[in-house]
Amino acid sequence: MIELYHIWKQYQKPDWALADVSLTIRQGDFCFITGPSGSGKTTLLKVIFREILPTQGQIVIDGVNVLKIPDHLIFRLRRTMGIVFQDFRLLYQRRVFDNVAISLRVIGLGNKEMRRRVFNALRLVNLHHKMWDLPSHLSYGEQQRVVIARAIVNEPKIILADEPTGNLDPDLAFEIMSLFKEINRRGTTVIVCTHDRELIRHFGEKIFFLHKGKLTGKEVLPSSKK
Amino acid sequence: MGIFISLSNNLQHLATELVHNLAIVVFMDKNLSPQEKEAFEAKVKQSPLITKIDYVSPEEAAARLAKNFPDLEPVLRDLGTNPFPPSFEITVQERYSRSSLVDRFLESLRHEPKVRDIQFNRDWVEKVEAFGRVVRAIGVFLASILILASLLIVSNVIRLSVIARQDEIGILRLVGATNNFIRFPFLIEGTVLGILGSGVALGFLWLIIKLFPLYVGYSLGAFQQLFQLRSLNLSQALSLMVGGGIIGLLGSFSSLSRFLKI
Repeated sequence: MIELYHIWKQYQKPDWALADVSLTIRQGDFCFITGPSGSGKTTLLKVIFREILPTQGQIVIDGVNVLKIPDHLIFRLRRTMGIVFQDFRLLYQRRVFDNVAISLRVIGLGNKEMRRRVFNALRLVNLHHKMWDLPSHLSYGEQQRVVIARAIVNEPKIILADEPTGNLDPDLAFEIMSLFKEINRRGTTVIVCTHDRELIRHFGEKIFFLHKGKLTGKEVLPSSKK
Repeated sequence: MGIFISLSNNLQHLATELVHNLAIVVFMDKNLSPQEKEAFEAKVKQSPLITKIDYVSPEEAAARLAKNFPDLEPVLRDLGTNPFPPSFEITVQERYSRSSLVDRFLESLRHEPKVRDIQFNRDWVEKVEAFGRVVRAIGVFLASILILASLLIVSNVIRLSVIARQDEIGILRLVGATNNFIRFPFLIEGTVLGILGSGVALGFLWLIIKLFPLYVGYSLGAFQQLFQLRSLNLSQALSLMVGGGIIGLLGSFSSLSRFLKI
C-alpha cells in the first residue's frame, strides 16, 4: 500500500509543483494520475520512487516511511518497483536481452535463472523472438515493450509508468495499456501518469486528478472494462 | 620516481662500495728507498685496524691515470717526467671505518719519516651518503608532486568515464543497484590504469637505464660509475606497480565521491 500524506514540493519559489497532496493506493490497484501538462504528475511519481524529496509531507509504502530511508539503502525500495518512462531510457548499444537483464544483474542472479526470467518477461510482452536484437532495430512500440519487460522482470510489487504511451499512436497505446492491465491482473499495483483521456476512459479503475500541483479529484470506476 | 630510486640505488651502492674499500692513501717521498718501504709496510701491518696494505709505484700510478682518464695520457707524455710519488693504499676494516681509532692511527702515520701526504676517502663516503640523502629528498618531493598529479589525472579520466556512462548509471540506480555495484567497475578501471601506467613507466626506465651509458659514453672514465643508473630490484619495481595501482584506486574513489556522490 502506498500512502501519501500532505505532500508539498517546491522547485522554485513561489510556485508549488505539488501542494498538499494526500492519497492512498492499495496493493493490486490499477490507477491513473491525470491532469494537464505541468500539473505535477511526474513530480508525484518521482517523489514516490524517491528520485526527489518532497519539501514537506510523508510517504509510507507497505509500512515503511520512504523519506527516512538512508541514501545508500534506497536501492531496496527501487527493487520493489518497476519504472517505465516515456523516453524509454534504453541502452542502445546493448541488446534487448541485456537491457532487460540489467534489473537482474544488480541483484546478483545466476545466468541460468536470469535467462529464464528475461525470456519469460519478453514473452509476456511478445518480444522473445527479438531478444538478441539491438533496440535501435525495433519500432517505438517494441522499444516501449522492452522497457516494460525490464520493469516487470524482477517481479516488482509496484509499476510506475510516466506517460508510457506519450510517443505512440492510439493503437499501440491501447496495446501497451492492455499489457499493463495484464500485469495488474497478476497482482502488481500499477500507477500510470497520463493525460490521454481515451485510455483513462477505457482502462480506468481509480483515477486521481491533479491541477497545478493540487489533488482536485478522485474517481473510482468499476473494473468492468478489461 | 623510478629514476630517482635508480640514482639512489647507485649512490647507495657507491657508498657501500666505498665503505667496503675504505682506503687510506699515504703518499711518500719520491726518494723512498726499498728498505724504508719495507719498514713502513711492516709497521703498518702491525695495526689491528688494517686489512691490507698495497704499494703503488709511480709507474703504476701513471698507468692508472692513463687507463681511467685516457684523454690525459698526452699531457703525461708531454710532462717528460712522472709526477706521481710512491704511495701505499691501506685498507681499513669496515667496522673501524668511522672510529676515532682510525684518526689516531692516521695521526701516527703523519709523523712517520718520508710520509708527505695522507688521504682518507671517508670524506668521500660521507659526501656520497649526503648526496644520496639529497637525491632521496628531492625524489620524495618530486614524487609527492607526481603522485598528486597522477591522482588528479586518474580522477579526471574516471570522471570522463562516468560522464560517458551516465545513462547506464541512471538506469542502474532506477533498477536498484547498490552504490558498490555502480562504483566497482570504475574502481577497477582506476586501479588498472594506475598499474598499467606504472608498468609503462618502468618499461621506459628500463630503456633509459640501458641507453644512458651509450649516451654518456666512456669519456667520463672513473666518474662513469657515479652516473651509472642501476636497475630497480624486484621489490622496488613491484612496490612502484602496487603504488601506481593504489594511486589509481584513490583517484577513482575521489572522482566517484565528487561527481557521482557515492
